[in-house]
Amino acid sequence: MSIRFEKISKSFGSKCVLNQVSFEVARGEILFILGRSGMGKSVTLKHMIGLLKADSGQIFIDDQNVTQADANQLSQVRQKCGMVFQHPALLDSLTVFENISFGLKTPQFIKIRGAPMTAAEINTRVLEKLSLVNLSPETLDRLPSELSYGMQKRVSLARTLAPNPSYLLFDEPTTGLDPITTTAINDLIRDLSRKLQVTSLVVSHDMACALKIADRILVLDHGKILAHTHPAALKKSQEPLIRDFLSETLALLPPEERIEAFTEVCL
Amino acid sequence: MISVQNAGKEFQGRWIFRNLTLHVNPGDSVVLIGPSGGGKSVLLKTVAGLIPPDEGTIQVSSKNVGMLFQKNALFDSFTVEENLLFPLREVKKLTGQRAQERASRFLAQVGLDGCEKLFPDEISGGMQKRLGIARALIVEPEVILYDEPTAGLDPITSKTIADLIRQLMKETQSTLLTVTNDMQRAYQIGNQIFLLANGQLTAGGTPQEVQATNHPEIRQFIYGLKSGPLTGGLA
Repeated sequence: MSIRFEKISKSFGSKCVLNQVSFEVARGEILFILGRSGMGKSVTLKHMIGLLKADSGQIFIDDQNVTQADANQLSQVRQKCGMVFQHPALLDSLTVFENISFGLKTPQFIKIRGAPMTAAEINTRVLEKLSLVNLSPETLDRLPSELSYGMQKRVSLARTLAPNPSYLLFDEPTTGLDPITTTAINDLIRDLSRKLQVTSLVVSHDMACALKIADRILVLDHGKILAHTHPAALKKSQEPLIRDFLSETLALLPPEERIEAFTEVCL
Repeated sequence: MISVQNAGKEFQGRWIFRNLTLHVNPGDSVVLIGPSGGGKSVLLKTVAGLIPPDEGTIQVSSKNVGMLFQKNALFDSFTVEENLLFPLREVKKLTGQRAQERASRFLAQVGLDGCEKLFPDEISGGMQKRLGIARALIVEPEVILYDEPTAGLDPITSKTIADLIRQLMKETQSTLLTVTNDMQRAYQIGNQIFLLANGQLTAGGTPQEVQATNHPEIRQFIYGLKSGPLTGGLA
């Protein structure tokens, strides 16, 4: 077991966002965290890397208790976790190479690694990550403004991958994207997770994506876990909220795939 | 109601679209879909008169046009209620008790009654969207332009917003032009759906026709298929 939440509670003012939430994530798994806005999805991710402190409960990542970690231990946890933001969030004035190698030169990275990487090592690492996201080396000298939005998203992913994280945390990776780009991002998440054997947590509204690529899906609602299961079982759920989410995905399937999906969702 | 005739728009030597013709009849609801960066919002802004076209003509047979921007563009330093009173005063020259009553009525209609004195950053994203819709509608526009009215909202909230858009359209007999990439919302809001891709506009027909289409570009787009005539995705 690589991630374990034990009875985590968190309130903001009088609003209880997480109420005794417990779940586990297995190594190499792709877990989708679904739910309506304001139901604690991003809050869950932020607790994992210590950006928010729980009111009660404990979180373990690789046997490190995050909730009781000191600054040094927290820094180690964060080095293991690669965060992929909704928007590329690249540094505009730096080239693609400089953006991807940025995290390899930080004091935190060097401290955990024990020694700075040589220029040659950095170069090799950047090229390796660039090819993982299917970008050619010619892009290395370009500035983010010279790239399409899709390419910027790839560079952003390569930057997250550079320090070899064990965990990838995606915050709404497909929100607001057109359907073709959504498919491309989904494929990239699935392929990278499998190839690199990382554990991926994906916060999303997109049930259609979750059904396609998740190993398991966690549905949060009003501070509680409504479901935590694999896609095939979730399709049979009788929970009204989950059925609302499911029924929204049907029209997004080509007609020939709907009949099968329909029998699963609506029977 | 809206007539776009051979319109073209170029940015830095590249035509975003060209020879584009689109007619929206009074009381109709047209939805534009298409890959990001394909010019949907630009087209909407030319119809709104915010950007002039470089070629062709655009006519809107009403001066009373409302627009909902993708990011709502609310006034942060105004309360929820003041966001509605402002266009009433500036556009309708309506102030005092009558303006107050009208603002209350519209807030109730979008389910924001009780939030009058809050500021935009004190309400949720879905509520901000509804306030944006109320602000666009309060001057009783005959033509309403919606730019991604549900982007970033969860599917349940999105569905409610789209229902509200349809309901208000019926009540006010207005004409709609909507840009969205959320196909569920496109089917919910539109009577007619058009694809704007590679500078070309393709008529897809009604939501039912679009879902059953064999048109290669439309089919690839709406179902997010990897192979097909459209490039894009992460290219």
